[in-house]
Amino acid sequence: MTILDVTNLSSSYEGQPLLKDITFSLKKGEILCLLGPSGAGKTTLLRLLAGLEKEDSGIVTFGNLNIQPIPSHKRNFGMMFQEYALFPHKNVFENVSFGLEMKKWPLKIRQEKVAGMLEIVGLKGFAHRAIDELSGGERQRVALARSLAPEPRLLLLDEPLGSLDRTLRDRLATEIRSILKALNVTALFVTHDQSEAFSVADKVAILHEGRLEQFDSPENIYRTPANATVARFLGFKNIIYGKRAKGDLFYSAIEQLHLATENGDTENCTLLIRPEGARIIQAEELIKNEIALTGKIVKLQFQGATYKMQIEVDEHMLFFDLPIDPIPPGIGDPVHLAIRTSSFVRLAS
Amino acid sequence: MRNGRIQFSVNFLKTNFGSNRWLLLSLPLLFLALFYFYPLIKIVFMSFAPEGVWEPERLRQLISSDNYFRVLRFTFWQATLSTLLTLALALPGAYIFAHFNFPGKNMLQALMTVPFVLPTVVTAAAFRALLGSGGLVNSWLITALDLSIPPIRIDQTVAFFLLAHIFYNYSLVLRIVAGYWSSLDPDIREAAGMLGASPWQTFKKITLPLLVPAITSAAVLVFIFCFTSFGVILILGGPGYATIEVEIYRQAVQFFNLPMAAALSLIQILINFLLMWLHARIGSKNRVGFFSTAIGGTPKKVKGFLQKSFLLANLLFMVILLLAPLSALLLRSFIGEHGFTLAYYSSLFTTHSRSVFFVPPINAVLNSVGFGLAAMCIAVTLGLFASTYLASAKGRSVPFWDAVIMLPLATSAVTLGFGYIITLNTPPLNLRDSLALVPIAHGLVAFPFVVRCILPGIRQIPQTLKEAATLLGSSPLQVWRYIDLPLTSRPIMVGAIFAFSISMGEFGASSFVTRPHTPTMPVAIFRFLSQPGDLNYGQAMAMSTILMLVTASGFWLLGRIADNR
Repeated sequence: MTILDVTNLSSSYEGQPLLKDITFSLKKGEILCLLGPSGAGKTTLLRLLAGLEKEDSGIVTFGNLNIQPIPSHKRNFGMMFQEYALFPHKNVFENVSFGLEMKKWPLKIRQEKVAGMLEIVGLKGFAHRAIDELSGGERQRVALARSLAPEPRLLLLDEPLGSLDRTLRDRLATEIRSILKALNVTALFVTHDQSEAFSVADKVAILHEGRLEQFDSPENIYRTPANATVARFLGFKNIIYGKRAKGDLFYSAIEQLHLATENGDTENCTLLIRPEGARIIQAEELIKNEIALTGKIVKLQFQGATYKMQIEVDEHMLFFDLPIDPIPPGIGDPVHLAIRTSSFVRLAS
Repeated sequence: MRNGRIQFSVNFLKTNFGSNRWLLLSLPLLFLALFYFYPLIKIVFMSFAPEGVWEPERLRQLISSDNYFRVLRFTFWQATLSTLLTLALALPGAYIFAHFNFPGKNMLQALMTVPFVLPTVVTAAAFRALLGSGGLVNSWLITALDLSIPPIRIDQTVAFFLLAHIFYNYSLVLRIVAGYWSSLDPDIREAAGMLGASPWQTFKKITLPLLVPAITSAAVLVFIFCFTSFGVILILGGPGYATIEVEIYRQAVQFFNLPMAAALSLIQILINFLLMWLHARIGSKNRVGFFSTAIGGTPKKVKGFLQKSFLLANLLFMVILLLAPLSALLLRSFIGEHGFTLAYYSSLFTTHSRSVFFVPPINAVLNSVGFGLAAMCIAVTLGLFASTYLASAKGRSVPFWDAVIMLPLATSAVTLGFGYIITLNTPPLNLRDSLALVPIAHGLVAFPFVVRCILPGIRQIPQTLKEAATLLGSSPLQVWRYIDLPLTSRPIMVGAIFAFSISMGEFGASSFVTRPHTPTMPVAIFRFLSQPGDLNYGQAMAMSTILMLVTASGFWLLGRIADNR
């Protein structure tokens, strides 16, 4: 059941467009990650939905009701801020209970609810701690508990893990997902970190310069990026520009990679080769659904589970993650690779 | 081997500096002992033993007298009222400065520093020039409405000096509160909104509680200033009103009732310490900025009619409050009974037969500048010694000595001046007729400010720089000369500016220790103002204008030196 519906949402600041015609919808209980580089408009979109900023045009409905005229404090949306924005003059209990107090819940029920929330986020017994006694990770949990306690209809999270160190981030990202899933909360999660987005989200929206470039599940986004912008943002390096095919051939910049176009697809002339799915072969040892490529090894880096290999083909640099067996030849040596056809993605230009 | 030698020289540096370090503190301590503790102890003795005999009963009688209570009650009452009025007027201004951007904001902020550096006597004169019976507004109204008596009769009323107190403290409150307000994270307010709090609930439950430390800190400070108010009340309040400070002056100088003055001083000292302690506690607990609270944040543009008119009303009030008295002062110094005149200025250069001076009044300018420079040297020298000690010393004794050095801040200048005339006029220290007494008093008053300027500067110098210099062969003295001193030249300059301007405007202690033939400018202005006649009045205006200009150019000059460094 669709609960959040955003149609043609646009916004600008002092004449500079921040968001251009954003359209998407979200089902109840889904977690959407807004992913994009800084300045892409992720936080703006979040603040528009929260009612903290005003859009130029577009329609936002929540549960089939237009929420645009409703001030933010009456939307019953929750928000978790980047630096948490915990109230420094209130202790953990008072922070978490604040939203319930605003709803005029009686103290007794508030106490139960706060205790329950603190248990869920793993801070049992922290109720009377002062905020400045907490570590970064603990503050993050208090902020999560505070935004979840009033049972918001929609939870907005603005880079909630941004200021934590890497190991803590990875752990808390999966933890947040399981908490949100357990409570069946519909949520929007802003991040610029791809692995964080993939481990939290049901759906990912890639934003770039105010435009929604792709909206899909994490798997689909990774497997088939919609265009070169998305592919580059996801960190893919093997993006090869080609010419429109005559007949059904795709002329890429690399001679070895003139490929048959799929299903008469003549528009998509840019080719992405994902780095995984390659293996080293002796010449002419292809199996079905593989394409051969020969190049010279320029760099080779042992990474544990894989080798990162950079090869030069027709003056182009290509990058692959190879299994550690067989042991690759040395730097400067020629190498023959077999690449699965599923690693080739045709991108919209 | 090499490591051993390096370790040795570092240890040597520590011990060498350590054993002699207290020498640095001895000069400031000696100065404090002679010119601060000695007079103060004498006051206490005089309170308990007025005629050399231990008579606590006398003190009890003095304290339980009606006059004593009246003065005490009035002092508290006017300070409370001034504080409340200032807060009520300045908080909307603080809101505006913390939240909005508007044209002329920077200029207005610069203008706000004016009351900080304006001598009390000049402020009093400026308000007389604006609203006094011979002031600009009254003379305009008389001409315009063809009246026979001045319509605004605010002279010698409570309202008059309350107005001056507001002028003094308005920008102080605004700076402290606006600086703190703008530093509050706007996310916190938005978080409250997202949790369902309406704008009013957010203000009541989040913003206001968070502002409490800044507001209390500002309020206590304003209370202290108004509680120890002297020049403003003496000049604007007239004989009918007396704070403790004014009463000490009257009892000592006019009635020669030294035991009563001592008893009043004693209570003033005690209350001042209590208030300063309170302020220090609030400040240290909440890190409220005092001197240089920058107003930052991300200000919004003004939107809507309501916001615009609120902003405009406040800005208008600020501009009138800050500019009107000063412009009136300037105008009044050039306008006599028959229009434009330079007579007030020219008469400063002659010794008038009817004048209250034995020398041309213009000499007061030279006296003040001379005393100011001498006081500056005293305060900076003492400040450098004390700061160097406090920055290099470690351990529990540091906060103690720091507090001792700050003591003069907590003591009213009038008390100090009174202490001087009862101690320093008899052997072993007979300085009664010495010119040195004024710079000494001013230097003592300025000394804590100088330390507060220099000490953070020295403390900011990374220890590694000094260690590097040591290992490159510098002696402790050379480290100080080549590392500490150059890197703190700016704070030293700022401290010097403070010391000079404090001396230029100082009136409380000066009113006791200035000799009749070598008046300072504030003392001269006070004497002019307390005499009848248009010429005296005009001369007060002219002298005040000159004092304002001299102080301003002192600031400008020293500011330029600091910039060129």
